[in-house]
Amino acid sequence: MLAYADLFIVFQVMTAFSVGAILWFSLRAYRMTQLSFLIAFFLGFLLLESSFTFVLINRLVGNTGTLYHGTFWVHEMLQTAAFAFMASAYYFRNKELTHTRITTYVIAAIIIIAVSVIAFLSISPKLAFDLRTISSPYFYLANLALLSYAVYRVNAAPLSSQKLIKSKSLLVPAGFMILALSQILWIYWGFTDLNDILVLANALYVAGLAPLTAALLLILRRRPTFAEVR
Amino acid sequence: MQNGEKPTITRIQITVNVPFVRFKEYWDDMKARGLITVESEVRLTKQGERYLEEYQKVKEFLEEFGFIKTEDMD
Repeated sequence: MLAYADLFIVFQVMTAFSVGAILWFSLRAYRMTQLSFLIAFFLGFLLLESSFTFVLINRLVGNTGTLYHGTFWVHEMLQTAAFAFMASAYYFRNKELTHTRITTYVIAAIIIIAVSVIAFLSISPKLAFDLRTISSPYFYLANLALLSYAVYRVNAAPLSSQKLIKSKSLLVPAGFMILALSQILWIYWGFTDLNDILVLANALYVAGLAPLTAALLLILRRRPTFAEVR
Repeated sequence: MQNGEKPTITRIQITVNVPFVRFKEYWDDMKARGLITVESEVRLTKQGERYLEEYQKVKEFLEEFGFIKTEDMD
């Protein structure tokens, strides 16, 4: 086991709960509305949780160079794909997103990740490790851009409808903003490879998911009155 | 309905402002799914109330996460 492995197990449990709640409610919302961008949103969070599973695997078994860099390689690609799906959900919220198009994106993501993993294992370990280390900050930079777009779109909706700012309305933008901030730490970690920064980046990721889950739990907890829903 | 009016089919159709042919489709669908009962007057069933509660939660979720504007699903 590598440094802070125990802490990462705790992180994983917390994120599994948060992401699980978001996934469950996204699916529930999709079943009722049939809004296809919710599938992209669902896939985004599914990939995000998968990507952090690879960080945990890294901490638990990443003792060799191939396992250490290999798990982070998959993590970085999955995380970028996750944020790309989330951003696409916001991009397509007022546009037509067909099931065929979603399937094409999923297949394209699977092919890109599979080819990258095969390439990683096929080339010489030294070159593969160097390439992974060099490319790492750029993945997180892309994530930061994608999350900034999501933050912009989340904020754009309530403002354009002149909705009153309530504390609950701030939870989701705050959550996405913290996730975006965590990417800055990930970029720094990409350059330095310091364990302490890795822990902080993950802690911020957990902290970013917390307001998103809280917003969801507040919605679920509240029982609308019959007069209100009529 | 507002002002304590009894909900009649015509009154509801005027309120929701949907063309009659489409309204009839929705109406039949709601009846078939057991969301409303039409006896002496139009009433929401327990299932219909549960559906509306669920709808309200989904609407809030979509609003909170910035997918729709407040007025989009009203």
